[in-house]
Amino acid sequence: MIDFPAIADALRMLFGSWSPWLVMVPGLVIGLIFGAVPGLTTSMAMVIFLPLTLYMDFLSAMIFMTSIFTGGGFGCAIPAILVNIPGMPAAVATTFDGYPMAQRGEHNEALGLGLAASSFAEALSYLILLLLVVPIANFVLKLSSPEMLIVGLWGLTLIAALRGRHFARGLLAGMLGLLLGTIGFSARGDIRGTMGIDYLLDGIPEIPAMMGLFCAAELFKLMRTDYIVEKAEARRVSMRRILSGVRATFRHPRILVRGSLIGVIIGAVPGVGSAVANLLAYSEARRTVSDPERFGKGDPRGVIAAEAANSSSEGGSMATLLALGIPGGGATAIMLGAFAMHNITGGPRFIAENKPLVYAIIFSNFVQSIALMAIGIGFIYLAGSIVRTPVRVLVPSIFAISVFGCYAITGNIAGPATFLVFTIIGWQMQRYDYPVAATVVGLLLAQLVEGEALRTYQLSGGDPAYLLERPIALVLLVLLALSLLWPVLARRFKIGPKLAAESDG
Amino acid sequence: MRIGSVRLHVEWGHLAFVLFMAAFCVWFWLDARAASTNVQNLLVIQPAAIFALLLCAAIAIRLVKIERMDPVEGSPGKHASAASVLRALWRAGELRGILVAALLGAYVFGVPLAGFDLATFLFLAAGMFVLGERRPLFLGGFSALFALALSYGFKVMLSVPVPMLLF
Repeated sequence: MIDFPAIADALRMLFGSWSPWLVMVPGLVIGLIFGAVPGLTTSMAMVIFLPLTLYMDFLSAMIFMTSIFTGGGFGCAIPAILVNIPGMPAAVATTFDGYPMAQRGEHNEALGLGLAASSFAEALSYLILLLLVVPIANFVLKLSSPEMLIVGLWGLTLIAALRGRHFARGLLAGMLGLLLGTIGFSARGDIRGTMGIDYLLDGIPEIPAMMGLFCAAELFKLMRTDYIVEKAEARRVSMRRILSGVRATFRHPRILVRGSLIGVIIGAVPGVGSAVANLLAYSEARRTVSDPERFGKGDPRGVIAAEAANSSSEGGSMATLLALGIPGGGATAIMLGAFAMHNITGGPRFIAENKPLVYAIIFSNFVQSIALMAIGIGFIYLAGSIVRTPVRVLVPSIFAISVFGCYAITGNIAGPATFLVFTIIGWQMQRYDYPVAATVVGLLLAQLVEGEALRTYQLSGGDPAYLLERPIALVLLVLLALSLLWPVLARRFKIGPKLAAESDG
Repeated sequence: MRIGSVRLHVEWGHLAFVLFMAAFCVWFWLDARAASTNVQNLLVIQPAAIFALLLCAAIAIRLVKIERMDPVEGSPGKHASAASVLRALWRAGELRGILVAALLGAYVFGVPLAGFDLATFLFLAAGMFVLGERRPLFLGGFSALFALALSYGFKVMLSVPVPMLLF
């Protein structure tokens, strides 16, 4: 399972010169900044800095890229906790409990929890990658279109079940996202729902739409207050309290490890990644505790589960990238671009031919997770000043940064226009208690769901009995049905009666 | 709304939003069908639209509540003046929200005309004013510095042309 001579070569590659380490700290800082600023994403940071890797050897380039990935994995939790705007889809579930903690004045602890969970999960995911890179690759190969379709739909229904209060509104928000996500060209070349706007032919720009929905949901609510945290003493950034959050993380080892494992497994599935991993880990954490009603109201365990999963999914997606050459998402797709820039072909033979290099990348990520703890604490100290800024200054500033960010993503005015439209939709959704996160997940998974539905239809010839021949698909289908029937089941079996009662409507 | 001895409690704002979503689903479904009725085109859109419409109906029904009342009972109702409605909206933050949304719209569509730097400056100053900032020096100074720093930073970072007035 482990090739020790290759490990020895990997250590020589890593410690033979300073150059691989020189790029790590800048990479982490870039990732933290791009993750923490709403509107900027890890993928954007990687794309912008990709040309720099031409001047690096391949190992340094991969360390630089994975450092940005690692920094962004935690960076996106900072706005999620402080202002309820996940910098990226990976931090959607972090908002569920992170922001209520910040509202209670426990933003220091929440950030400490997020940082420790991210660092631990990152290290654990690469340890698993070290041990299981070959078996993971084999398992992922067994997932075909029907399984991928069900995983996608499961991710979509989970969010409606998760937000609890209004199950029907959650499902409707998810369906709306799914429909919006299918706007543009179909696989056959049919043009749907573009209203004659050329910018929409490739679909709604997802990140500006996501930013609009999330910005609106919180910023319009914030306008009624003077500060994000009203009490002056609660706005202070305290190293002692951040460290107390770090320590508190390890009081919930089961949540931490389970969240990390879910992140690794989901991260290894191409196209699903951290956006679903954090939701699934959060849902699992809530399902398995004795007091699930505390989730969504500022429970530290929710932050730990979500952050552990979104960070550990990096290890999972790297497994798929290294083992199969398949990028699981935007970030790994750019890494595949870095492969190409160095004339290296990813794919099943890559590991066999470059074992020392793969092990060196894995070991460098162990060091990154430790470095993230140190750099992240300093960065939190700076980022925490967001809650000390008056809302009257913060709200227009975030809107302006988001408009710039949206322009950066699309390269034209379509990004800011999408942001505007979805800001208004999100504002209304927030007013009437529809979970914007469900719409975002629907929007992000629409392409996956439609593509896999099409392939499943073609493979099965339209015969539903085809699924009976696929045991993994059947298991996933049962889980999907249970998610859909959750409010009914909860009421019938008196599981979490309060939650079930709240799910009406 | 009162009809004979029955009073209807309708959440009009929410109902309008549900109807908007339902209208979008119907329009998108019909638009997709107009593009092609091939199964491959409608495989996801058709079931998702039908499911969404059923959900819209289920939610809309709950937004209308019927209450029976005594025929002699009933209040003449309060007729609020436009000024008092505006004051109530301002206190609830609704009017500020509408104004900021309008400013955001003007900002987005003003960028191609005025450039990111000037449009951002104007949006920041107007947005902060609407939200309660009254110090003229801070309004002008912060907006100018923030707009310039942001515009310059993005112009340097991005490889695509960014519309600007000054840079």
